[in-house]
Amino acid sequence: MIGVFLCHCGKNISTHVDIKKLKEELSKDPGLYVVEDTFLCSQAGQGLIKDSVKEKGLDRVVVASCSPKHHGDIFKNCVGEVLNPYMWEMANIREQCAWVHQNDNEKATEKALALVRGAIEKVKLHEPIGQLTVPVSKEVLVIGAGIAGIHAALEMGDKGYHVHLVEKTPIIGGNMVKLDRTFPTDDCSMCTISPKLNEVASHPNVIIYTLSEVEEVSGRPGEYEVKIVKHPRYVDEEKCTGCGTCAEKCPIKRPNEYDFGLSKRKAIYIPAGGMVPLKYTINRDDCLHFRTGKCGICVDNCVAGAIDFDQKEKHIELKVGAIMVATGYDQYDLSNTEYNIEHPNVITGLELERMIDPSGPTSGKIIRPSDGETPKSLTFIQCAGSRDERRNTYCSKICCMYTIKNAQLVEKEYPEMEINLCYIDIRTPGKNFEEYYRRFRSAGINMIKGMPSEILSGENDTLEFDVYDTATKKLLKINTDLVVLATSLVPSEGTKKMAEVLHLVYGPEGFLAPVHVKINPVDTANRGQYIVGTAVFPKPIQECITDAGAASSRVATFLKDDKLVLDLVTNRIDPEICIHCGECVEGCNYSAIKENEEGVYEVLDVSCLGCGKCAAICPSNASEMRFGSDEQLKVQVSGILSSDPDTIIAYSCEQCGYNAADLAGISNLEYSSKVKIVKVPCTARVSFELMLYPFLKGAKGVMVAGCLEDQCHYIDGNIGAKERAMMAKKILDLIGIGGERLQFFNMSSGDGPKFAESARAIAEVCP
Amino acid sequence: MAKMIDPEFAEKVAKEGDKSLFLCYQCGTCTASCPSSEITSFKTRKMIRFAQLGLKDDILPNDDLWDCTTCYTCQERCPRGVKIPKIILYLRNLAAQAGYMADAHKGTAKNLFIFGHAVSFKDKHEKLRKSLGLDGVPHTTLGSKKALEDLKTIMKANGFDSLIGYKEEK
Repeated sequence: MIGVFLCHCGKNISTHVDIKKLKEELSKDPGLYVVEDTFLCSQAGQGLIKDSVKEKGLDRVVVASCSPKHHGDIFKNCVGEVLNPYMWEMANIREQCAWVHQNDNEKATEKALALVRGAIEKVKLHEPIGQLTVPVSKEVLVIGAGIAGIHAALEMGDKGYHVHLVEKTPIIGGNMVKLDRTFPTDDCSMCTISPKLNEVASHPNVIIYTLSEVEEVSGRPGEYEVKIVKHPRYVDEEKCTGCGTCAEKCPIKRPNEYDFGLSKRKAIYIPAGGMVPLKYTINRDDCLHFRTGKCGICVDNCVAGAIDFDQKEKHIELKVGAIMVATGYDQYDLSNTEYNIEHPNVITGLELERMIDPSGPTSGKIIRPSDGETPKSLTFIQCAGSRDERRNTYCSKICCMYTIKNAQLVEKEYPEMEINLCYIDIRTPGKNFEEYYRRFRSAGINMIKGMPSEILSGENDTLEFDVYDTATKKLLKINTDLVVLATSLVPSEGTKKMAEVLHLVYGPEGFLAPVHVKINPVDTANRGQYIVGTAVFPKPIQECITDAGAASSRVATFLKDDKLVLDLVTNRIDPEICIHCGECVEGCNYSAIKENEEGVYEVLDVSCLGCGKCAAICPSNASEMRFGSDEQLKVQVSGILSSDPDTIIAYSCEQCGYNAADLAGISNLEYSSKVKIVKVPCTARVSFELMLYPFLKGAKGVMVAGCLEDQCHYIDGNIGAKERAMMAKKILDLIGIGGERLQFFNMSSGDGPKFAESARAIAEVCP
Repeated sequence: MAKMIDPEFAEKVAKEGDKSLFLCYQCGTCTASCPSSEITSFKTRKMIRFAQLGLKDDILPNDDLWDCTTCYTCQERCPRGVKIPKIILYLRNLAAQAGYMADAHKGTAKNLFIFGHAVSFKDKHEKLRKSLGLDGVPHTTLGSKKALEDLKTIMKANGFDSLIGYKEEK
């Protein structure tokens, strides 16, 4: 027996929906036990539901009241005390009936009855939903030891989690250790990061793997199996004391990559002073021993006996509960462009950082790399590769601020130097940023609002170019000794590799994509995997720190118990029907469908977020949702239509469409009462069949309301759904029903007017 | 005097010229790359800005408009992918219709009525051709009075003669 509970919501519902009539109509069905109450959400109301279940032996419940977005959890928990919490369904007769149709009580009542009947039919097919409990490992993998990764490792280590920090290079610290001073405080970069380098290196809960890369990740959220390869250093990290005698004696000199060739290093080296770990590394390609087999000077001079030419690649396997990706950025390669980067006196912002670093390769002196002389003039050029349709369309965010910083630092040290700065716009949003810019403007830099066309090599290793100052409308000829490019930031090679290894979603520019840019900025589509720092987008140091803190909090929440408990509102694949086409594996954004040892596709429940995309795209109907199955949705649709055939079914996604409809109700934005909503987790759930099914049952039309394009909460569910809708429209055209009777709308969850407008628009063409 | 912006004109240029017009963020790379800007008062960026604001009176009677050589360097360098020459050519069409075509361009256009080609054909060309063993006059409108008359008929039917101020000498 099904209990149907009708709520008055004080007078909110009962003023416009005739509850008496609803009760009268529904009571005609002997299989229903119909009760009404003023406030079902109150303690008394909840008691009424629970008592009725027990006394009348109800096995299913329908609550007709407000939006499930409003009190859904209250009723779910209430029902959950006496029945399985999924043996329940809600009909939204407040937002979708009483409020939005308050000018027509008769229609509001008629629609309410249809929605309740739809809910009754659906709940009849509900099955108890179980829970999944899986153990989790309290170990955390942090990939990338730049400032973001280090901060994340420290945060997790301090919380008591065991952290594995993996770094590709021989030292930790990333790009930040290369910087001189940092905006907007002008404090020395090394002074701020150095304590953190040492803290993380000596942290009892953090193990650092340098010269190491993550090669493979398998397993599941809460228990990932990670394979790491550690490249040989040819120096025993345990024994090396960092005394440096080996490098002193080594006969091979090479340009130091760390200083962009501004300094030389030996074949055995540490990139720069003050590095962590203070352990030497042999570059195999440079070392005379590896090239000729003859040299062994370092071995002879190492008192600690740390040199080990026989060191081999090591393979390390770990089990971790969660993964944080902090693999950072690289500078965009401007080779063979109009920027003339091949010229020795055209350098990038990072190269200038090395120059002005007092402990850097030039001891803080600015030089022309061509001859080592002090330049008489220096020109900064912004947006080199950024905001450029031919290269990177995005703004690299940090360049305005670091150029402003560098320009005024140079001006302070070299008051005689002529400094130009070519820019399109100066962008300084950020705490204390505009104040910093204001101080800078008084420094006397030539600000040229315009961009050069092509940087040409001039006489005496100078650079010359034309630039049009759009403020004075003058075409200027610039001849300068040194050009500093604000080179665009792009995802690092490591970031691109991790996107592949972890199957992370990334944007067109290659930066890793969060689940939602605003609401879940550090979560990825893969449960238990988080992204931080400039692997996500160019950002200043403070935001990398914020990211790392945020992601640490997310990981701590994820791993807080020894186990994960999840409701099995997931998908299942029937191996008897499955034709093994692989569409679902391909389509799943969460790597939640895997082939098991017997070659059968299985849903990894712990990874499945229940969007329903696989169920919609499965060509053989083998893929089915445990909750909100095709059959359940179909009987809900036919239930509504049998009660009121003058209906347009509006499949609305739980994330945006449904919320927008609620808002339309709250704001009394009236639309046709023909439009009756069926809630789906994502428009991805709405299969071709579900789009056409209502027409079989006599519906006047079908609308699908999803999130804005590019803002789908399940990444791309609304894109595929829209494509299916286009196809379904063609079929409706062919069979004479008319494609205009099926429409897809994109809207944000806050856009009540858009829902109302869309509902009105479709009602107009579906008489 | 303050000027009124004319969004309708701007939208017309975007629609008929090229829709990339509004993407311009005025970085000036076009002007910096323009060989004409260096020696004339034509400034590419300024012209695009006038168009964005719909300042018709700053564009159509403006002699600068005719100083673009359509070399396409601006388009190649433009970081926003604005189809600059296409827009300039469209603006020229509007200017020509409004009676502002530059004399040099009118002169070139007149060649079409005289020779059937945008370039002239002189005795020295005929001599040069003969010395190469070619027919003195090529088999185009130059060698066919009828073809030239047909072309003139087409151009007159389209009002091209009055557009460029050409009057046939009797």
